[in-house]
Amino acid sequence: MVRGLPMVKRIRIALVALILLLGLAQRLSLARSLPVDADEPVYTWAASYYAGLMARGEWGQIPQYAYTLEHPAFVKLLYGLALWAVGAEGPPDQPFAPPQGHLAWGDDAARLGRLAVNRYVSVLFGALQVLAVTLVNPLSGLLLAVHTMAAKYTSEIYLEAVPAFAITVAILACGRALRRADGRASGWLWLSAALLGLAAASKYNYAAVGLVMLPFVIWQQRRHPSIILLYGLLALAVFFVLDPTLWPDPLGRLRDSLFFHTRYTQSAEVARYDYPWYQPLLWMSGAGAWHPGQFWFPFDLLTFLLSLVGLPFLLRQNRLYFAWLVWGWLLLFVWPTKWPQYTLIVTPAQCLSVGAIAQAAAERYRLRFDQETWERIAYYLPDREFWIRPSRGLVIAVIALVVLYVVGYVAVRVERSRQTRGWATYTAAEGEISSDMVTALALDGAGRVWVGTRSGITLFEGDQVTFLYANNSPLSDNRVTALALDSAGRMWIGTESGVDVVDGEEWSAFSAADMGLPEARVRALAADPRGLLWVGTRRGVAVWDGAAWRPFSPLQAGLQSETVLALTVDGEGRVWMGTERGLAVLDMSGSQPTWLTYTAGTPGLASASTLALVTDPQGRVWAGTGGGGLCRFAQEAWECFRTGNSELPWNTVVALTVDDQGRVWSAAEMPNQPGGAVAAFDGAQWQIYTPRNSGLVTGEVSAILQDRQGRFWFATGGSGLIRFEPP
Amino acid sequence: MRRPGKLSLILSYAILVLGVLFSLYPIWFAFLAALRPGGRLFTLNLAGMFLPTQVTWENFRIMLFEKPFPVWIKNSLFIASLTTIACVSLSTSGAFAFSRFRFVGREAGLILFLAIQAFPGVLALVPIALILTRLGLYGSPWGLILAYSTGTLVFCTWNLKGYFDTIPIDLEEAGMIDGCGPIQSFIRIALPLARPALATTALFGFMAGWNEYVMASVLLAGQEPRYTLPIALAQMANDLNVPWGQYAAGALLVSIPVVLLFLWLQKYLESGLTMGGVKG
Repeated sequence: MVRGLPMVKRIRIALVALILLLGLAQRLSLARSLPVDADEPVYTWAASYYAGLMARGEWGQIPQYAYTLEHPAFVKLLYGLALWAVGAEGPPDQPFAPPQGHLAWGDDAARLGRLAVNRYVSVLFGALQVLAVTLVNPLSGLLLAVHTMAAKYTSEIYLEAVPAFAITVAILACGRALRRADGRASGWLWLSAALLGLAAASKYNYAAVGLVMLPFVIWQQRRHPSIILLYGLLALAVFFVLDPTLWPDPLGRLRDSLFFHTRYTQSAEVARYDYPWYQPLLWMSGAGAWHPGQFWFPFDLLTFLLSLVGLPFLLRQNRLYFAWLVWGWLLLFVWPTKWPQYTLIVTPAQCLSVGAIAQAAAERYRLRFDQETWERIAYYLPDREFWIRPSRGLVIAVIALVVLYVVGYVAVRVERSRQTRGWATYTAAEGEISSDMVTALALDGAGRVWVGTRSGITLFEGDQVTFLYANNSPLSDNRVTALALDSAGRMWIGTESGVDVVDGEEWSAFSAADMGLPEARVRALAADPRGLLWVGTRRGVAVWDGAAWRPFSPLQAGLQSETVLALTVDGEGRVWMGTERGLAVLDMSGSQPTWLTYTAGTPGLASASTLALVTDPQGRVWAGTGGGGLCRFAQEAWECFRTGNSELPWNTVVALTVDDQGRVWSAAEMPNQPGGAVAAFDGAQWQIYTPRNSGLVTGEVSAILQDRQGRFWFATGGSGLIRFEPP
Repeated sequence: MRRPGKLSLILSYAILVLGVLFSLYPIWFAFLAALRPGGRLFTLNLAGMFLPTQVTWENFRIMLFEKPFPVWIKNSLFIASLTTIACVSLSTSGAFAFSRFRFVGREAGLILFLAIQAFPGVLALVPIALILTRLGLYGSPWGLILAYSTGTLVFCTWNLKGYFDTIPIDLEEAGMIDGCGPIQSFIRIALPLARPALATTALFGFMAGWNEYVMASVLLAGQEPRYTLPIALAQMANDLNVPWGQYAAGALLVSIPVVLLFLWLQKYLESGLTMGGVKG
């Protein structure tokens, strides 16, 4: 289709396409990256409520929904339709957004989730507005495409994009209709009326600026008053049809809606900002300062200054556009509320004013998209032979490099998606877990996964998630540090101030005084098959026998350090206690408890600093050490797996567990910088999981658990909870 | 002319080969480090310091596909390309004026250029940052392009001016007889003859924008999405760890566009450098 057109037209089409692409790309980039803005939570709530009504077939309730009545409903309904299409509906019993908000100003764009589809609805109408202006004047379209304020508010879930597009096309269509020499009404005139109604049904201030068309229409059709009347009626009819909130009580609702604005201008919120009357002039410097690095060409101020220079040219070329600019500015100065998005009512007119300068220059120097102009320009350009052409080999080399990169990128992406299959991450930002600092994991008798964090407990039971905090449950302290299930099916919760035990629905709490310890900042818990529960704290160990607590401290033989970081009970019933200075083993099988210690210098033990302990099904004890690797105690001897003699990635092992196949899973950390890996060892083979070859988002894992479905759960100290379902 | 003896020929070649090895070894060393697993810069294996005894492409994979390398290269290409265009267009017209026209301040202007060229660029960093802040261009790639262009303009103008001096003015006078104006004689006659010097200017302008670190790190401080390749590579290091393998891989990748540009312009570079240096 394009091939058959003359060169001039092909160039023009290419130019329009490029400018449209630029405007679209800038807006898409902003839609993906801008944080949640002030009014976005409000409009997304209204839209999601509409989506819910549509999904439940309660179409009759749509006109009754009067949330944010100060603005007409059309754009909110449009957003609701988009959300209905992607299945994002609001709660049916909450028509108004909760005070604390499901979203907040400044939240990351990722928090929008499926709601972000409405940002793309805005982008669509913003790009259409750019297209409309570009078809009239390419330079104006280019300036609008990169205008930071226009790009920002037509890529967010605000009410600006649709009415901005509508009123722009309405005024452009009106301008086209006014050019008819015979003064007869044309399709452009009726289009203008319909779009004026659409703009009014979207946001009132765009309709206010659109009123600038009326004197021109009246003047042109002064001999045909019926045309004028029809124009007005068409606009009103479209306005009424597209704003269902008016249907139950048109005059009453319209009065409430309009008077809201007059009250709002005197409200405390507006008074708090106390913008001066010339604030719109200050908005002309653009939105670049609010979002550094997001706007590709922050030339708003230049556009504004040039638009002032272009005023006489605009007046001469098109009085309607001139009136649009002047009337729009007047409204901005007079209206008491000075929000930055209001400046969008004049942005296209400013761009057209700058375009008028270019048009005047083109007329003055007879520059047109034609062969004669091209020959005049080419007269001053170097010949084709001037340009240094690259050799064919070089071109092939460059293309080969680019192709190689693309192929490599695709291959890496495909491999990455294969590696991350089965991995999922739960984060506090998504509301999936109580805190990203996860400290402990345990499985209860019912198969529920208990996740201890620095801010309470999260319970996973199938698809159900329950949050337990100190203020909504008997939990004594939100700072959970350890979890363990005893042989009687009770869940023990270690915190920074003691131990809680949950037996069905009954909760009990034990403090430091109850345990006979100086303080009870719990670091480890271990359940003994004999029904005992061992608690390791920063100031010693205590054991619960079902009736009373018995404390142990370094004053008694055995413990090298007060702070007990790890506990486990081996196959012979001996209690292993790990500290930073060594391992202590307590054997209570005899008449007197006996202690055995393993410190630095023990043959086979590379480091005595013990950070994690676990007993495997064969009754052997595995110790994760600080710098000595993963050590196994079997047949009265130690064997350590380190980076030098195995595939263990690092020698600091902070968490251990044994899976249902007897494999030992260990979390290894880099010694003096962030990062680490998870290693699974079956006695012969190692399987290493790092953030590079799996869906492990961070290498710093603090606890590992396998649930009844065979899935692995990894606790991290800042990146949430990670779940892995092996294929 | 007496032919050199065999011994002196062998000696000459030996010195040349040693010189080449001495200059190429750092690049080869970087290549070995990029292929070495574990991110190590050195190895205890002596052979490993000269030959690739252990090979992994992991460092290249990380740099190309895990780091935002396309963003960095896009930023660098953007800045370097615009610096090149600005340098070539401004210095060409300025050099032609200095070469062909006699005007008040011509000699003083040339001496001033020389003085500016002698001024250390790093000392000018603070005033440049202040000026860009006043213009609202601090932290913006446009400010960096402005800084690079003005810094490279002096040398480029001198080099081009020297080259234009070697082009006989008779050609332009002949063109003027046939109706060429000053602008046409510049564009149609002088510019095509100055292609070698233009190629040199383009390459210098590109390298000024591509390789520079100090000015970019100050003028783009904190603007991570706008980081150029030198800044991005430097920030990969921290107090505890320097990923030498990735550094080396990044350095090799960074040099590819400059090599490609050199290959494109190589036919003209030698004459552009030598002819421009003849006349002052």
